[in-house]
Amino acid sequence: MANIKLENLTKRFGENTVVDRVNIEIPNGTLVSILGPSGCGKTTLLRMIAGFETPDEGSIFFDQDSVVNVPANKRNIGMVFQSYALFPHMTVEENVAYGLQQRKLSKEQIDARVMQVIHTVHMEEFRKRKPKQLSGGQQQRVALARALAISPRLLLLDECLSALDKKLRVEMQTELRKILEESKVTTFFVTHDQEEAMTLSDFIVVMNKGIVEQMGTPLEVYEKPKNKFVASFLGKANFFRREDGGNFAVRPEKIHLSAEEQNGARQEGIITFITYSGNITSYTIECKGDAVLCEKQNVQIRENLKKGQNVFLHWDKDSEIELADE
Amino acid sequence: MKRKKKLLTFPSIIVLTVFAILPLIIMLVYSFQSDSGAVGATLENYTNFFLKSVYLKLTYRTIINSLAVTIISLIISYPLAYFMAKKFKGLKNIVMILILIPFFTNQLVRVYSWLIFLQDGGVLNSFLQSVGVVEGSLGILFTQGAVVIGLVHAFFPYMVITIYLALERVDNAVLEASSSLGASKIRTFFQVVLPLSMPGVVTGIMIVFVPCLGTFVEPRILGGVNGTVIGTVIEDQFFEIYGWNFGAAIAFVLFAMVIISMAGLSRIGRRYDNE
Amino acid sequence: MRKYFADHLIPTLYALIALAFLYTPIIVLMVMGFNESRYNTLPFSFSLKWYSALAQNEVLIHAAVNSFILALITALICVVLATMFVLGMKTLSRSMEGLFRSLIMMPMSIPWLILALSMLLLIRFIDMDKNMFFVVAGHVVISLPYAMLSLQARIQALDPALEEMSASLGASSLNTFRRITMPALAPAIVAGGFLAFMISFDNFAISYFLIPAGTSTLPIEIQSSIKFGFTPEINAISTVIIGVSLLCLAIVGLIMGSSIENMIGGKKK
Repeated sequence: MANIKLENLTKRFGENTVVDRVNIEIPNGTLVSILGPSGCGKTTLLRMIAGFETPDEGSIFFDQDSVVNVPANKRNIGMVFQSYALFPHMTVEENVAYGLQQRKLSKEQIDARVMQVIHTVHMEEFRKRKPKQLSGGQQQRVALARALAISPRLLLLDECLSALDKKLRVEMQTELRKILEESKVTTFFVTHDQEEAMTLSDFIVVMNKGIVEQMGTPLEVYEKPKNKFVASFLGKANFFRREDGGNFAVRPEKIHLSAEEQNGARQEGIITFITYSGNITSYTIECKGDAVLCEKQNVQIRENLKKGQNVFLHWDKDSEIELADE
Repeated sequence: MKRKKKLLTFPSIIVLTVFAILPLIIMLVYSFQSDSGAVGATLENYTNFFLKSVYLKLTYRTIINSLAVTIISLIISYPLAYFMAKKFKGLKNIVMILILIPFFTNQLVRVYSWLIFLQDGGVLNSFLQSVGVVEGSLGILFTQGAVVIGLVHAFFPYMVITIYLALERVDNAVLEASSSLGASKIRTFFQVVLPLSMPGVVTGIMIVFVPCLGTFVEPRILGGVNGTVIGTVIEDQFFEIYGWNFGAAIAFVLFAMVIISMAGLSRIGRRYDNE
Repeated sequence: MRKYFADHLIPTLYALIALAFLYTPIIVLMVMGFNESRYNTLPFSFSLKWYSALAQNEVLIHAAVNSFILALITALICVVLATMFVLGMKTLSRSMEGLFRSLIMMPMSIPWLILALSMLLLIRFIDMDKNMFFVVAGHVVISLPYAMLSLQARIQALDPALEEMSASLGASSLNTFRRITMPALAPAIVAGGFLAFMISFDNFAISYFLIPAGTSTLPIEIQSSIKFGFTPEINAISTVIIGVSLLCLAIVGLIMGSSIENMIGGKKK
């Protein structure tokens, strides 16, 4: 358990500044997602925290201790890699026991802890198997168990769900969250999938091109994005410009459509596209040359809006998200 | 169509069967015939071989030589393969090419180059004399040592390549995982890298030890009288003594040694198969 | 800092020493080919006399030419056999394929001494004389595995979807073969042929046992020179061979390198 502080962390590869003066403070026991597109520096950030990359500037503190000069194998972190990186020549049990063997524990203590952790990830049945005999989801659980076994101060997960298919991914997300909440270990989770970040995290750090665009709870980041990038990276957003200057965004689910004009209609337009996705219906409306997306939950199946129809758009004033000028 | 396609594989198989399998069978048959002209099957070739201590000593020396070459090659090759796989970035390709180039020098050219290099009065001798390490003749040539040197020189690149390929397949993330779990670099090497590279090591041992059992060029040229091994004895049977049937028998003993070694090494190799 | 040195200095040093071991005798051989001395000994004074002697050494040159022609024929046969095999390989059952492949690869693991003398015994068995036909057969047997390696690797890396796509676009089997499969295999054919050529050219054991009287190959000539007294003409021709081999390597490397970029298909590990 540790609270983590990153101060002015910077890393350059040649001409590229991959991580640019990142300042974050993470309280003990929280699950933080580092979210961003490919190449935004999130993996490099994680690797610096792990100790596999050396920062060019800045410091990293685990509980007030500076760890920049501590080698990776002494930082007491648990890491799950994108490829899981299980030891192919060892069984599940041996994989999980590996970290414990580096610490001077008795065989009984190690065996007990290994069984406990394997139980937590529901892999008891497979404990004598080798990685090549396991499916992707199973390997992932073993990798998690292996990292948790050493009771690390900090857990680092690097896009480790991206190799799984959608259904399995969603299952693992929930399971992961449960396990992590139980073990109460501070966790960093790198991902490019915003849905995943929202589902799992206590806090989200949104990164782009090496800088932190915004950090906050999922609610904060979704409902109050600071700029256009964050607004469009997390969920979808419609952008509008006011006549007197100033930009704002409105989320698709906050827009209501009506066939007749009602009080306070903000915009008017023609439906150009309708997509039915089971739980929601998406309408693309052309207003003054721009495409506006509206999403509506299908509470009633009765379909009364058609393609080509003229509609009026409404939204609450509160739904307008002010954006900094770009 | 599938039928026709299947036929495409046959010519190669026919060539191998007629010119490799068949001759081996014939060799076996001849090994049971006497060189003295007597008709009928006999075990005399084999009894001659196994009961004469000179031949057994020879077999022993051949095996020891091959072992020595294999072990020395392994010691030289492993670090080089490791550095190439894990430490070199751009250099890796250059070193690889440089290692492969000698493959394209003729075996005889290579042996000859060692002959003139190691000869008394040759370049190495003169050099070592001038720095005071050696007085007079070098005395390496025409010893078993020279043969081992020549064979190591010829074979260790194979090992470098097989071990390198095995090491390359080790996911770097696995090494980082080991480190993140608290293992020192040394521990990571012995508990992760080494075991995972074993398939390459075993293959390397196979492609060095086995051909070494059957060499006859290097032993004769670099070892002279002291270089007699099974291979040179067999060669003599066919070119000097004309005891072809006896030669066939010895060759079959060599063949058996080869098969046993390969089977044994395959067995070991399978234990390390992680894929 | 110190770690950096250990990370870079020691490995580089080690590689240099290993390469020195690998190259020193060969470089000495090449240099001595330009040395006045008849005995490959120092001191060094530059002379081209061995090269001019070589130019007049008909026996050596003739042997070299023989080696070349033999290698060429061997390479061609090997490439044809290997390509055919690899194309038909997929229609075999798994176990058949494994068996056939082991058979073809066998000469890589059996000492050539055994293969050579067993072929000699075959010739005696059928009561024939030593004959270039058998020499070629022997060379093909030992070179085929190398050609096979190259083609096998290539065909396994080829995306089978390409052939299927070609068929779905309406191409006949022959056309698919001509315009899709063969070009894709071309680099492997060249590489395999080249490998087979080198193996055959360098081969001593098979030639030594099977060559009929009156004919010779380069390795055989070198060996008898060593046995019966040699001059640095051997150095000269060795240097020439090495130079030509490197040249061919470079050319093949360029062809392979540029082809691979142009080729579609191929899954990297």
